[in-house]
Amino acid sequence: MTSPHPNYLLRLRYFLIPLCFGAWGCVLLRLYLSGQLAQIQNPTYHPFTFGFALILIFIAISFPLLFDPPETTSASPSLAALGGRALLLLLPFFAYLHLPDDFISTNFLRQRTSSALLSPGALKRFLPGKPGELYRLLKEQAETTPKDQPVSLDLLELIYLSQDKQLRELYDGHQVVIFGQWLSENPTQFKLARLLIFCCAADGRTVTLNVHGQTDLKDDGSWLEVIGTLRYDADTNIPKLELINYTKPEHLPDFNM
Amino acid sequence: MLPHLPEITLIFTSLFIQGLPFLFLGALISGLVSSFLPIEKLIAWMPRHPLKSACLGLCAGLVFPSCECIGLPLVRRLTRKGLPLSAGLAYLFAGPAINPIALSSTWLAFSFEDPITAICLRLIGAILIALILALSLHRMGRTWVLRPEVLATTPTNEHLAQSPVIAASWLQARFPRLANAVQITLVDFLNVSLFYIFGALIAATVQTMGSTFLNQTGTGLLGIPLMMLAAILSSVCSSADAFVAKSYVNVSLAATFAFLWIGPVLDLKLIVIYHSFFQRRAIVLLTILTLVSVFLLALALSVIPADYLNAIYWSTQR
Repeated sequence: MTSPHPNYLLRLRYFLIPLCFGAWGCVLLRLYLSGQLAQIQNPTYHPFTFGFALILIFIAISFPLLFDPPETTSASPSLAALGGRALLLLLPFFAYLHLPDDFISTNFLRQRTSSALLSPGALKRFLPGKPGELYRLLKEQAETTPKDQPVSLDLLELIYLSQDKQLRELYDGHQVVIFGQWLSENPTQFKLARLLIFCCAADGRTVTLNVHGQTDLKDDGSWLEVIGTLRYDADTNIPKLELINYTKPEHLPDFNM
Repeated sequence: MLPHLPEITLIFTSLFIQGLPFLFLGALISGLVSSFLPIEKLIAWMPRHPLKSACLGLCAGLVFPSCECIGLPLVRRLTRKGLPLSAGLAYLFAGPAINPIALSSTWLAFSFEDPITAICLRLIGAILIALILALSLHRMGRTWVLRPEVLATTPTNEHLAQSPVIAASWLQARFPRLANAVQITLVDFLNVSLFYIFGALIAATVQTMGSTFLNQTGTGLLGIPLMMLAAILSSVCSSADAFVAKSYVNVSLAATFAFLWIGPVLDLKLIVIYHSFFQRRAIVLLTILTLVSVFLLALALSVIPADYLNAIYWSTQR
């Protein structure tokens, strides 16, 4: 099917490409520069995203130099095909505009919940350094601090140490301070959650820690700093926390993810 | 669907951000290879026997670090140039799982157990599945398997003259090979990215709607199909799928490897992207063959006595 306005449609098709590339490039660059990228992509891939954003913007700007405008004798695209292509190519841009402010909703966190006992291999991407070093540090921390003096632990470090019998024995009954996102559960218990993004948000998995106690919080997903006593289930080795106190942190810690 | 819109938007955007740079890289490599390497001579030198050429494709997959997104534009372009179908398909299906990056992430993910056995299991399974798929599709013939535009045997420049963009005449006059590479890169990238965006949208929608199945791990034999379903739904990149597989709690070894074997070959976005290369009937055939072969392989793994595999089976009771 040919269009009654071939030149007009040919020009539209020609300029659609730099328009899309420019829009995509700006979205990627904004996500990267604002730091929001960390919420939906593993940091390993950030340099690729940044580099690709620059390439897209470069192509969009230099497009008329790199590619000739269409010849008027060329076959004209159909309006429907061109419209469909434009819609699809611009979809990522519109999707970005519709992203929720907090990016990761509590629905999303809940959909992907796993327990706080993962295989340690799953954490390799998030706990840099040699496993032996972390093991030594955690062991030293537990041995040098009295059990009633809280030690600061990352939720991922807690999962890591829960894999080891000796570390479990050292930390069982120890007071700890842990950051995480609050997810309501029942009147006597809530969950402390962290989202692990291995590649991008599509493969995100939420690890959770059960905390026994009550809070007066109402907003699911609020970040919390919880002080509690760590206990292990004798049968399953799954850790749980008995709440002592909690605060809402003013600044979020750097989670390296 | 509207209450789920924030989740769908988020997953779609993240898949788009994650995959597109690598699609572009694949298109760039295909442009450079087509324009600067004597690719026709290399293809003419390749063995014509399907098994031998498939083995050559597997060797390429072992050496070149490429994921699903990089491999498809490259194989698409080389197949158009006359690459034996079995070689291209073996590379396409095995490359994402057996390349150095995927193997090193498998090593890390299994580093608390026995990484060597884990890598061997991943390699054996991925190679067997790729061979089954490549040889079966090769047997069906190029015209049955490939889309008509991939089969087009017209010389590159003539074919590119009909593309939506033509390299600038000043570039063609001064650097003809570079002009050709630039044009191939953009044309291949645009062709595949259209399918990718659509695939990402489908994957995001189905993943959000079927999120219940993402966390269903099941025990015994039921664990195998459930983990296969989780891999298909989550559309994980093969460079990180080993970590994701290890994040499922209390899953059997067979189910874990079913996840690792099926993911690089078949997921929701890949099924859509394959439409840029394969005919629909070929996609149906490869879907069925993948599901059956992965399930049977995982079943075979599950009957191996646990004593032999204890070292790589991580248990919560340790």
